[in-house]
Amino acid sequence: MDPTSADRIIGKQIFRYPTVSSTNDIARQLAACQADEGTVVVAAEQTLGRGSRGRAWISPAGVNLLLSVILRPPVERGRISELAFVAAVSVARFLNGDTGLAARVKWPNDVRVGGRKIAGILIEAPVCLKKEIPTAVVGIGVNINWTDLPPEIAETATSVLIETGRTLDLESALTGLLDSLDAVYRTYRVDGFEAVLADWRLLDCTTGEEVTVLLDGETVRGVAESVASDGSLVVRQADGSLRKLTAAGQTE
Amino acid sequence: MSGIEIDLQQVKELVKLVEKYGLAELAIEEGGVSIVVKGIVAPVPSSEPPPTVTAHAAVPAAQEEQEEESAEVEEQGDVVTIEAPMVGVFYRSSSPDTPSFVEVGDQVEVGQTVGLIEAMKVFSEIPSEVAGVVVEMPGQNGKLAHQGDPLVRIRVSEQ
Repeated sequence: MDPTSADRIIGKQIFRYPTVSSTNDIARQLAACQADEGTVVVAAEQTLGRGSRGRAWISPAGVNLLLSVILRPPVERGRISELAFVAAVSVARFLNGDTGLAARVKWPNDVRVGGRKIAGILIEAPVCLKKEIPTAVVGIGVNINWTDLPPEIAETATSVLIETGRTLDLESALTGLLDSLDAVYRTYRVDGFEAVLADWRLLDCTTGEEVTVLLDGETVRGVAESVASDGSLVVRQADGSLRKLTAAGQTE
Repeated sequence: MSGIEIDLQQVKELVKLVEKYGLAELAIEEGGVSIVVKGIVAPVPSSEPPPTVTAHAAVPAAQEEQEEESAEVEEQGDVVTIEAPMVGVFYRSSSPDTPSFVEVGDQVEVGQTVGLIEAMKVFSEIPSEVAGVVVEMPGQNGKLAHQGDPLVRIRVSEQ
């Protein structure tokens, strides 16, 4: 969709930076200053890129997509986590449509190609005391033209260039990703979470696989049986019992 | 006065008890006879030092009582409980390697982050609704919290 269209939500305004601490930091500041929903922050380089629970998000300058989007979905606070599915479907669809890869999603928001991580999503939705509509900052890193992955992630991560042998123009990739995000987010707003979850299930590589979730001071191990209608993961444990997981903790 | 026998020695002992412990009143009942001995001093529990009583009796009472009252309000100030706004794993710090957002005894401001909840990899920082002092942290780090579960209790500071 044309970024100037009246229905367009994401990417009408894009702030670009050569280097930032983290695009989420900038987007959160903009959100606090009442930036419009759909505002995007893009950086060529992050000095303090982060993943969940303080883990670092590593990316050299100028080869990958690093961005954050401000969203204000009109849902109650308890449903803000549905955005994890919106973001994962958007990234996987962009990769599958624009690069021909067969990207899959792993519960709740991992995006993988051939079992390797190709993108990371960090959603931060600080509770605001006065606002009824929650604000979320969706941080996304997608490995595009990166080939010299450091040894600690060389076996578990990948990039578009590694997988396809083709270099992508980063500006075109950004356009493609924002188009995908806008389309999936509008589906979420118009048709609801069920529609997004249905798309997520088509891309799911979790169900049927062994999963390990560090949670509640304990480790839940088992086979992912299904993803419930509220997005929680149903795991069949070794003793045959079913366990429904809402929080992902550390999922492997 | 027939029919009623009062043991004077017993009464004397009761009076001694009332004086010794500064009791306001002591009553005993035996065989249909009840004896009530009333003290003439303000009641002071024997186990506690008496300064409160002397303060009450002291001359510049008006001012002192006022100060005492305001001190009492501060000690018994409203305690506000910050509850989980949604289901998820509660964390006391932003990462395993960083210190807790707050500890018991910390002064917090309105809007200051006191905890973090993760649900399906979406992280929500929890702000304090009030300014005050953290008095209790029922929310356990890394444990699942349900919507409405108490996470942090804060005694509101008087402004």
